[in-house]
Amino acid sequence: VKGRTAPLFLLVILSFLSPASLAAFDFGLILNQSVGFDGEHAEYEAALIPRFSALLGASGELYLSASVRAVYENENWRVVPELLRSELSWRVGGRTDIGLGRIRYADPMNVIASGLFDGVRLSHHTAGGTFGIGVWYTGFLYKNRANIAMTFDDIMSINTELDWDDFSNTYFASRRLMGALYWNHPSLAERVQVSVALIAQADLNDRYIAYHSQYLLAVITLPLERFIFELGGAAALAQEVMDGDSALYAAFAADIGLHWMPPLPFHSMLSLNARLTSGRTEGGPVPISAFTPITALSYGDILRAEIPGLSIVSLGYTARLHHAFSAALTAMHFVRSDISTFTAYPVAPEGSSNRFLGTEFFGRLMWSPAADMSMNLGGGIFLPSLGNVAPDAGSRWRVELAVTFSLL
Amino acid sequence: MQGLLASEAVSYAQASRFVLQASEAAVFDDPLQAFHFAQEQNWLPGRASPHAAARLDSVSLLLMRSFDLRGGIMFTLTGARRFAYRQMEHEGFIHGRASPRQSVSGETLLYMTGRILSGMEERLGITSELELEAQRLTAEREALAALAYPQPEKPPLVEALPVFAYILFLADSTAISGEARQRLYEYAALLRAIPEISIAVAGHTAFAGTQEGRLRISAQRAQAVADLLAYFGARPIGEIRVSGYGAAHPVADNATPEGMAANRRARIIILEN
Repeated sequence: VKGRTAPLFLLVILSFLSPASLAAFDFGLILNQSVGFDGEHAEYEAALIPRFSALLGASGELYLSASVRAVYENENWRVVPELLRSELSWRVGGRTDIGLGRIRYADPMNVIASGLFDGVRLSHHTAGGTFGIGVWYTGFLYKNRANIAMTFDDIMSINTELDWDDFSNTYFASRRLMGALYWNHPSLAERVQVSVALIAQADLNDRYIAYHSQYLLAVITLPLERFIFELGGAAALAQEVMDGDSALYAAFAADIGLHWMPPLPFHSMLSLNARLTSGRTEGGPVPISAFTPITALSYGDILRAEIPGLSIVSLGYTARLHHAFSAALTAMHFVRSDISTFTAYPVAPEGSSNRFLGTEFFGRLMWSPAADMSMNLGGGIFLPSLGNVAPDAGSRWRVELAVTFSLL
Repeated sequence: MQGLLASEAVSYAQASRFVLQASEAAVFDDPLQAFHFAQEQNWLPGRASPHAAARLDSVSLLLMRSFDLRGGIMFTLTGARRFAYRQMEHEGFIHGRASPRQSVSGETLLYMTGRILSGMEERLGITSELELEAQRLTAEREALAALAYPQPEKPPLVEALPVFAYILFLADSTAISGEARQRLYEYAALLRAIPEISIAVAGHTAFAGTQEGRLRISAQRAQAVADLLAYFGARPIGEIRVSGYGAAHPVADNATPEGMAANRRARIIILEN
């Protein structure tokens, strides 16, 4: 099936192209380079990202992009080719947007599914807001970018090295069918921005344990003078099917955000955010489990911890000191949502019921000296001593530099 | 000027004359002479034909060279029009769906030129402050006056002005966004160059809330725009007529969020003297 899909997609794209539409095309090439060092390990990554775009008539656009990355990590080199955003999009009747291909989707809370997915998306704009539907398949994505880690098998697959001799089994992400129904209104009652989404995923992996899940979430955003308030909540229902038996779990996540733009001569913002997720608890009609998203986003530039089993409170300040220069400073505190799900550094001693993992401080300087060049310098430290799970675990620090050139 | 602005696709000759004049790089009555001058300077592609539709990347190169703008690393190394286009894109001088190979409308050319002029003025203001304020205003007036080269039969610029004449507002708000302030600043500069015309501002709302509220907000929106135009020196405040029409004159469908957003506007109207 995988072998047949790519030519079919190209055929669909080519059928929309014409000599006239190709007259308005553009292409580009970006080179990204980054280095990171944490005292013990050094990483280097170079990525070439070619892209092509063409305007199709008055309302259509074709966008194709890909990357070839060379990564040095753990004293090994690996080269990874990847298809990035590749989308055929057009507007029908002035009110309906259709996107087809490898398209970007993020749920309103950015906690369940976020990134590029293969499929189709349709949005219809009405007086009552924008209604949309999308259907995607994850099995053609590169596993490390998609980072779908819902089950132990998913995590094992991600951790398996890419093997060119066994490409189909070591490159692709967990096979899941994902669908979303969503509605958002930019200014309900002329003030509140509201987003609601219903997301479901079905496990298509032919494994011993199948994990299916559905999510209902809502986010409201209220701008008030120099403040922006955000409140979000998500409820999940998951089904684990194993050997003919199935078990149901419920899970929850909540977001609270407060942003303040102080009256300073340069643009700046102070943000306080909390992301709380449920942990595993027994009892009740439906057991509560750790909140498990479809795509596992990492939190923290040093700890890079992932939900499930984690809650985060952060305080951040960003300032755009000059049109080409900005800075950011973040303090992020990590809390275990339960005492068994989160097992990464800093590792809790056996039997510990403490929840506070520690705090990470990270600063960034971003500079764009020219239109085709930007630099991003970051550094920080994670202090487990500011928590009580493993206060003697030893701190970790990291510095990194990323440079981006637009070559064409 | 009016012919240029009505054009869906300006020619290389038209673009050359307009840009050279606006930048004060050279002044030609004949567009062909302007074209040949620009081509001799390598500010236009050697294969360009004066009457052919100008490409957006070529116009970007012409603007970069005429205004002597600093480009990115690749533009500095190669001087290619592709990287001039990238620079314009990076600075936000190109908006909406665009491609370097597409033709350029008169409206787009005026928009890009106006953004460059106001950007240059801002930079001057940062470095000179009070001491150079008078000099800055003089230079600004002269540069913008160059946009309105003489057309004996008709008053210049009058039909061109409505290109920038809409200011949009958020729901229930009379606040003018930073981008809109920028546009009003550019617009005020153009208005100063043609003091012989009179202007009015009409405020509008989407169809929401009460009739009384709509009329009140529409008048406040018009007044906010008029105040800012006066502040930027377009006209004394007493010379700008202000009216609020509520939701009586929609320009888009009030049944969609986009339509409502388009209707929350104030329009600057050129009055025939």
